[in-house]
Amino acid sequence: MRKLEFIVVSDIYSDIATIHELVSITSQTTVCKPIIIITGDIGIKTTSPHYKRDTRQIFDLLSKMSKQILYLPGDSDNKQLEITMPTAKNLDQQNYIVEDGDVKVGLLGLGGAPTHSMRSADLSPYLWDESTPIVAENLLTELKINIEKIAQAQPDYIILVTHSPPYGVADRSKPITLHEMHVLEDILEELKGETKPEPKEPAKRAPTSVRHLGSRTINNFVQYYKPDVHLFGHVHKEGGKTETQGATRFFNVSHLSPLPYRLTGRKFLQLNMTKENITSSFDHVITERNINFNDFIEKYL
Amino acid sequence: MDVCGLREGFSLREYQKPIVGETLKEFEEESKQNVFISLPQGTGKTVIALAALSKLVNDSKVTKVLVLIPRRVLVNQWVDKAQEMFYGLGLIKNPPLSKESIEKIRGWLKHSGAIGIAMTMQSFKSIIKKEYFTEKDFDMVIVDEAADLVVSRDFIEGFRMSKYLKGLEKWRIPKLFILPYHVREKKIIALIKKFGNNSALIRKMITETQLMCTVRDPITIEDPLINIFIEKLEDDYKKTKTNVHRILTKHGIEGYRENIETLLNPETLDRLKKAYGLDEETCQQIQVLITKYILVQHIQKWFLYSGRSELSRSILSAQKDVNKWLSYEDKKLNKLVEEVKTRLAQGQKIYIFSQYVATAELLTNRLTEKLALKPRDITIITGADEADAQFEKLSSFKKVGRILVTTPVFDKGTDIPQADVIIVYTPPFSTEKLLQVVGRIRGGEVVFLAYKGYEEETTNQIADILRKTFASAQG
Repeated sequence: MRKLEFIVVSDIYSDIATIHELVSITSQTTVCKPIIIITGDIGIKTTSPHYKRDTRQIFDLLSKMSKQILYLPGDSDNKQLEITMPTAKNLDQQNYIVEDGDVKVGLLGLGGAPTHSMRSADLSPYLWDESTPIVAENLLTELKINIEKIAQAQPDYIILVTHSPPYGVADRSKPITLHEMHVLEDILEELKGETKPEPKEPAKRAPTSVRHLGSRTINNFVQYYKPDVHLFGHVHKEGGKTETQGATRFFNVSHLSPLPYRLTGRKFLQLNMTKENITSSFDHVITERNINFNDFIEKYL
Repeated sequence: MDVCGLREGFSLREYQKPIVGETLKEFEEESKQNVFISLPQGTGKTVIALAALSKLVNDSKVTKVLVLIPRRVLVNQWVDKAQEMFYGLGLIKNPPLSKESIEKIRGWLKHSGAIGIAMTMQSFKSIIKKEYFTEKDFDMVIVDEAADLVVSRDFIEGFRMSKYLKGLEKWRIPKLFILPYHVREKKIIALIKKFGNNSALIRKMITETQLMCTVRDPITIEDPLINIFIEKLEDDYKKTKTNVHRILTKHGIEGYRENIETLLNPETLDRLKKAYGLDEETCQQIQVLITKYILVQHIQKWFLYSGRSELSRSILSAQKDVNKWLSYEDKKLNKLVEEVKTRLAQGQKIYIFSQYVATAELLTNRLTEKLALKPRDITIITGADEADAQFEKLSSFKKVGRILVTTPVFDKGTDIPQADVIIVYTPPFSTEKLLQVVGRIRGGEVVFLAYKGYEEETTNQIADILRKTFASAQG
């Protein structure tokens, strides 16, 4: 039986070392070359001279183990992130059909993240404010146009790929901060209580309590169009969560980089699609699984 | 004729009468301004306060009382209890406090026959700030669960007054404070100090056998793998703690040993910087160590208390032994199902305690599924419920429920119906808190579940402390 194999990753943050390990692991476990889907935050610090070099290197490495790379920029990427590579396709506000004999899959995407999900915009050049009606409307229109184009091709499955989760699904966390790429930042933050006001902007303090960080626009779209699969990242602490609502299966695939949280990082999703069904499993980029527990903790935590 | 008193069919317990007398004596004969009553859980502290209030109202010494309680749900319980047991003790509960409504409330107080207002401590903070009410509006204040008046021990400032009750110490009208017996003596002394010399403390350990719990030996679960994980994590935990202690000793810092987590508070660190000249690097070092210490604790708890979904999402699930452990059914959870099943068959009413909301939800779902329970059989009440919902659920459990699963939302002051057994699935962080929890069932058995090995040892220690406490109470 023919099947389409996908490896889905998110929130790489220019971590080339983990990409090397991912390539090494998946090359051993996959029978044929899979299609890679990256749901955003490929690099970090877009203004640094390393940004372009790092993202290019990530794609070069991934292209060796895959037949295609479908990606979109996250909030930490350039909105205009374009990878000139024949096997790479940017899904941001675009659509695409992949086909392998029996099974045909339509994909559409939306990059960036809602402004309310971030505590600071300093390291996030690609944000959109969906509380502005015209912004939300435009995003929704793009998604609608793309899904209708896909529908014409009559695919077996439709996959929605976004960086942000939909509102209310695997999206509960404190607003994200990339300033403090601290190994244990989540726990530290919880114990700090109220965060001190930012010295630069004392007038308006961004909220720091736990809340839904997902996008209402994306949620509205999913509720109406009900794609078969929705892949997203962005909310690190909810990474690895899966949920099924009606006809849609949701996967928060955050995060591949060991930062910001070592404990929940190194994650990727394997997704297999046949004409009959969809199977999925999460795994971690861990090369030394057979070492004892003590050594494992020392090495990875 | 008395304007208020106990309703027909209700009476004070024998040990309650002298305490009411003593309280009144302190106010009336000794002219004390503040009386603190410290009694064990389940001894009816609220009833004692109501009986004392009733007498003062009848003697025309009190016409308007302000009752302050930590949470909204407890305010409802308090007022309902007053009305259920006493006639003439009507209280306005949680009135809407706004500039517009305040005159209306004054009107109600004057004409409705209510003898006062019951509100949360948070509301008190707000009315004081906005000056809606002053001490002139009342002639007595009752503070239930008054241990919250001082929140924590701060090495530099000593015990701090709760921000919710700041200003109350300046009120000169009589104040009655009710607090559990197991609050540490140091804390009670600090509390009394805040209110000045004209204070009295009535602190008694009631020895009624019906309040004593039987602490069973922990039910053990065989699982050799768990000990491998816990021993390593415990080792890391101890090492990290020692390292923090070393830094504190090096800089001559005496406090914070018991609760090193408080050092993560930026305000505390700022104070230390000023008082001990700590540099930025040392502060960061302390923070990194403590965050590691907390992380290790978190992971330990996931292993011990069925946090499998969190572990499955973490990198630990890739380690061969953890992976194997996750592949088989949760043995502790299965043991709980077995225990509950046996006790339900004996017609027992069961109270299950978990420190965490997620665990409480997990236990409820598993028990419902495995024992085919109907929704009315099992009630879960956690901090995730709105205050009113907590109260409604508790009332429904009182009537028809068989199992009550809760988190520390009910550790203070809540009038939980008597149960035959309390199964402690995840113990609270301190013995004081555990005593508050087990005290709520007023008698019955206390049962712990523990993995054989390390957890069994620590659980045995906790069980021994409980046994000794109950034994000392019985003399």
